[in-house]
Amino acid sequence: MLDLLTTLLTTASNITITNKAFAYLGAGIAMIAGFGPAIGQGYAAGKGAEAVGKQPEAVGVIRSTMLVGQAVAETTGLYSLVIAIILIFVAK
Amino acid sequence: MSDVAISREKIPRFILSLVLVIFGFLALITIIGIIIHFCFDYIESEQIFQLKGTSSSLFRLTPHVISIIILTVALLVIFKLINIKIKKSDPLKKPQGMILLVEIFVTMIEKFTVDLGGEKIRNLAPYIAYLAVYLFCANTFGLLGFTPPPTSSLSVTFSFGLTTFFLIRYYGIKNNGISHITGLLKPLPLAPINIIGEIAFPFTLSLRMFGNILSGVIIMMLVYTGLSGLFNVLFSLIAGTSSPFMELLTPLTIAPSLLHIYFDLFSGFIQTFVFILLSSVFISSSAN
Repeated sequence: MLDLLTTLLTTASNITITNKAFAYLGAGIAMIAGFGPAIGQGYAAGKGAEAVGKQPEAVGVIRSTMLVGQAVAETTGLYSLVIAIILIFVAK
Repeated sequence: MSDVAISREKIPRFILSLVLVIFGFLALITIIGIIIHFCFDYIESEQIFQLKGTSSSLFRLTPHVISIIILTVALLVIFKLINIKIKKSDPLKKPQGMILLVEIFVTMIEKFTVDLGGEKIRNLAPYIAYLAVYLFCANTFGLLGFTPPPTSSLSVTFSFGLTTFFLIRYYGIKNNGISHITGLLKPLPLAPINIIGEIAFPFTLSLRMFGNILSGVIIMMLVYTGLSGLFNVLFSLIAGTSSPFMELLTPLTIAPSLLHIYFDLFSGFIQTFVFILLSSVFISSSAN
């Protein structure tokens, strides 16, 4: 399928298109996943600010809980990053 | 009134000391960065991105393997020295210096473990302590000039994830017997999802840390390469010829130091904490 697409595009245009081009394209598409963790982390930070407003004396616990939650929420973004890195540097 | 006057007097001194501390820290990191550049010309020489071994030899010494060996040997030597020191010390006297620090650390880890999982996983505390020490030292390994850090290799993080996976199974079967396995089949239509969720756990645990550290390494490499390229261009504009020594000026722009603080210290600490937290939470939930 990919070979067919590559040959089609190569014959249609005068530029040589290799499989590596699609790997770069896929890496770019994979990083779209970055907006999910961004929303999640922003939501967690907003809730953390709210909690500090309600209970200013518990700011230390709230901060550490928020950071741990954000680090866990980052996971899906890191998956897409790993996929993009593999596509760029490993895929041939 | 006098209190206010005293505290107002104290403020400039406090800010001055804060500024001095920050500049001292930055200067230290800058000096270390210059030393790194003298010792390791790692931007060109090391292949950070080699996720897949291209050589046919299984036991090739990649930069990752060298850092892993250095870190493991250093930690073993330090642990053995501390052990000898503790054995020599008098248990009836007040602990001092290194022994006090070690005692605080061990008490903290044991309290952390028992608070999360109860008495059943008290004997897990040494594993948690080893994870904490090893992963934190590995994440901040780049600050000492040894690149790449061992945790930017998937084999290191995945071996820790696999160890945690087997510990989850061990504690579950030890405490709950065969119901630990049959519990996965409880709503029978959902059995495949349960099993996949259990198998995915070591992957998520290891990929989280691997992705975080690898992204830090890549961004640091981009910053170093870009800054040295910029200095080379400026030098060749001024002097008309390129100089290999322009890369040594890179740490003088404070940008790499600040990024090292974020990517190595902050990110490394948070990821270590998340790793040991998730490990102990999952093991204790299977044990209870």
